[in-house]
Amino acid sequence: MALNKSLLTAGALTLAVIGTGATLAYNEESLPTTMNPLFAASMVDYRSQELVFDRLWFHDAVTNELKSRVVAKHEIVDGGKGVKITLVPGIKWHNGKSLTSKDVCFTVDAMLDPKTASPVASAYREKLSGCETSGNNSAVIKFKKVFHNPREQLGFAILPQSAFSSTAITPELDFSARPTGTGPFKGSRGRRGVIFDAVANGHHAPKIAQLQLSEGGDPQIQVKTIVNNGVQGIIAVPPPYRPDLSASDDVALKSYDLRSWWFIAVNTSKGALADKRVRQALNVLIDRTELRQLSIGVKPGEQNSPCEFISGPFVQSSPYYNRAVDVTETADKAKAEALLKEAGLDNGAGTWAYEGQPINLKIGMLAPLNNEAPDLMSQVGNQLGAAGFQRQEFKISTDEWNRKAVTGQLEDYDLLIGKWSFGLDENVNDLFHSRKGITGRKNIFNYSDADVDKHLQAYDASRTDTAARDAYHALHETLAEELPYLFLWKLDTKSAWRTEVRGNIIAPYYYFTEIDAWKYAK
Amino acid sequence: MKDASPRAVAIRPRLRFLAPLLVCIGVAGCGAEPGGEQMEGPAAVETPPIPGALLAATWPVLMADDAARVGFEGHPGWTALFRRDLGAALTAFADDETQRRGLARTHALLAALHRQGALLAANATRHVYGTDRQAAVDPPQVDYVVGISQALLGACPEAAASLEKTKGADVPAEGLGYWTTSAADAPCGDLSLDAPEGAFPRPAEGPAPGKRPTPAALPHHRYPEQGEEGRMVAVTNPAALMALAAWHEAAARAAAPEGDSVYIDATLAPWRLPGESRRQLEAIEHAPEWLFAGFALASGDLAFLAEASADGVAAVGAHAGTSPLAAALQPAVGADAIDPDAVLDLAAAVGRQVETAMAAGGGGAKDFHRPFAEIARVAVLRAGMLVADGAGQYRDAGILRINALERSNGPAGDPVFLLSVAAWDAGNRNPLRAQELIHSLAKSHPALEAARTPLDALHIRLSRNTASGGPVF
Repeated sequence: MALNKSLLTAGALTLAVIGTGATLAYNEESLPTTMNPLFAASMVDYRSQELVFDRLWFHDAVTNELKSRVVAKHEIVDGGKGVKITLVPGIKWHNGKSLTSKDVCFTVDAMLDPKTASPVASAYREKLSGCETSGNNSAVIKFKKVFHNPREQLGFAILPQSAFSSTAITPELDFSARPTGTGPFKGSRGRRGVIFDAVANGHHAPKIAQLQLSEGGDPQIQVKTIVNNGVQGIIAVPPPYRPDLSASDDVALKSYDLRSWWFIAVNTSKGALADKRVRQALNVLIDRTELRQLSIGVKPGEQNSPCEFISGPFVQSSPYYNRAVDVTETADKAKAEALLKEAGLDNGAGTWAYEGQPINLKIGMLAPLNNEAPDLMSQVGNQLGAAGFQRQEFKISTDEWNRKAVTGQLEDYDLLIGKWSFGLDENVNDLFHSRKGITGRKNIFNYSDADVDKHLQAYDASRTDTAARDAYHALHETLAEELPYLFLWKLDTKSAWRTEVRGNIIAPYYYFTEIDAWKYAK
Repeated sequence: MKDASPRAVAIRPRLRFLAPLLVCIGVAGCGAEPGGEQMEGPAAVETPPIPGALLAATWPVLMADDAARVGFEGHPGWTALFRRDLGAALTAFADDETQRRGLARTHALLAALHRQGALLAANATRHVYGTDRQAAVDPPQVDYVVGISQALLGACPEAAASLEKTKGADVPAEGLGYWTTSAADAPCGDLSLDAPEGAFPRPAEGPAPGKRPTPAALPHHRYPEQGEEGRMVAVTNPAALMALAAWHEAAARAAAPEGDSVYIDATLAPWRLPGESRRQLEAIEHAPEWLFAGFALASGDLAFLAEASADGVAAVGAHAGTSPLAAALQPAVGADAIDPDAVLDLAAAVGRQVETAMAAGGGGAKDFHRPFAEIARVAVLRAGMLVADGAGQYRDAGILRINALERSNGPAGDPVFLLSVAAWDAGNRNPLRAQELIHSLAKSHPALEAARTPLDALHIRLSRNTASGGPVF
């Protein structure tokens, strides 16, 4: 029995498993790509890591108060360029060793080590300058400059020094599959899922003994399974299935505050797509209203839709969204045809040709997205096919997406359908800046445009809110014209949990921040 | 006041015994342990949370009778109000002289809505130009709107101090005079449309039942940033939204039949801002037009809800004999705190109890019973939230607020409550959910766009002062 197995596993530790004996199974969008916090690439990664690690500071999911479970006290030092922390005594790693200030400084040093090729670390590298221990329990974390509220900069997960041989950390280590943290659960990734076993600790008291993460798959089966209590939770319920679950007395839908928007990235280096007019034609050939109806189930004109069209790289509720740029809701075939002809394309035989060769678009989509928006890629393909483009369609695994799409190595594709998620920080510079050194790290087709780079640099250099907003409004306008992405929509995320699962407040972005309060109530 | 109070913690062990409203008496029905372990135990029988006589007086149970719905069913105003479309309700009621109560109630709800818009703007303003002020950059004139925000939030000495800083600066002189006078004594957030013209931005036209006012043009103020670039900053004056609230309140009073002022006061009481005067309520008689589809299930609830957020658990005991909601919450209440877990159980139980009673009184189950019962369920959560607020259980009230929000869909999706959640979020320096809520609500209520300005500024400021690994897939 899974429960007994988990108890035996945890029994081998010096720490005791706690909880009420309940095991909760839940479906994720995919398996995590890694459980090493320095290499989090997907939201599944962040959610999984939240169970295993403590972040130095975090925001209360109810009151948004900045809190720490590991810092007993702190003071601002060095005229605001440092924070001196004193750790809560008695905290143990999952391997039984004590958490010390050396671990905190090791984490900072690892992030500052240029050999740690981590985008997460890179963001901290721009802000932190070092860390000094003072005994086992105290450390001073130093910044490159004075921040208004420096603790807001210290949301990183703490790593155990004992698990690494040096501060140069790589993603391939065994730690990524079987990490050691101080969080409420010890995680172990297998081929088909992840088991999280509760671990007793002074600063965590989870009431669930074990969590079992599985890859979701067919949403219809997921929904039936939760209704039959085969699983107790689904992280992302596709919109068409929400009304049924909402009407159920056994399942409750829960909002998950996450800013996610969907796109079709266009390979601007490839053939006819290098011509802006061709991209603009594709943009008006995509009938988003029809796509949304067919794949997400939103009827035209439906009020309060969970899916709202966008014309740029922000959700409409964001201050960075430029409302002066209109969304393209329906297709305009005449306009598309005019643009394609203007770009020198020919469709004499009913198929658009470029330089005498029929255009054959290779379209890819991050595979798990097909659960959230069923058949989206096929529908996009159908629309382009009906407009006179040949196409091939491929689903791309999470692993390949992470290794190749995000790193700009799927250049044989013409179009890639994906989704980006954001928390409070909606910085899109990594997506659109020319890939050079540490810039443009998530630029899917290695797009490069001087005007776009200029706007992104203006955002980075901005010292005021208005300058930052103006830079991104200008970026939005330029991207809507240049179209390295065909922007689709934002889609809100709803989870479903059995009503027997109580106290399950879902934290924005990180999801499981308040897992200690979750319980299974019969 | 942010943490759950020690009182709340102290009471929990005792309340644990109240939580099992479900008493297991059979074998089937208690379900299986996830993971396959069978739990042996009896089936659940529920103790009805609301006593029978009080339950019978609730609007969902009364309206289970077809005859009681005559006059509501099919009327475009009541249909729109049930759908929470206040704009359509206003238009429909304005076209029907027999529906003065419907018109007055809609204006009262719009007054509540714009009050919450003002609260949101005030909370965001006090953070972005107060807690998170960038002294070297922000225009010094922003102290003017910070002062007004503090006055609306009831922080009178702080308001006076902020306003004092703007003397001699380029801010509206009449406004400065008005709010400086207000800030001298508590309560300092009352706003009167009789105030001098320049005291705050307001609609050009006077209150008129059945109409929607034209809000003052945005931005209310524009001030240059300090520094080399000196970009202009758009600034919202939260009092402009309070002026819209006052406008609708006046329209409600003008539309209401004689003697109905008490219902307007009761409708607004839970939504008044901390800086406003509290009004003593007179006795409230049953009036279906003031209750139908509302979150007060009976007239006794109006008085209870008006006092709950100020008096906390004391209000529960004081009203349990007359208010179905207070009676429902009583098992969750200890000497000086309320147990949020017990409230969640009670809310679900009330939903079931109401639905069962409607079926019994209305000749079997009907489609409209479920949405009516869902409103009752949300009403319990919201009432529990107000009590927790009144008891100083800030986090517990937040948990109930979030749970009520999760169920505020369809006919239970009250825009006033939704905006109040956004205002609460802004008070917690949490702009993301607040932006989503106001983005949605502003489509139907464009005047609320004014509240977006400080919220957006707060978001940008906070987001640029946080560490992040960037976008993820």
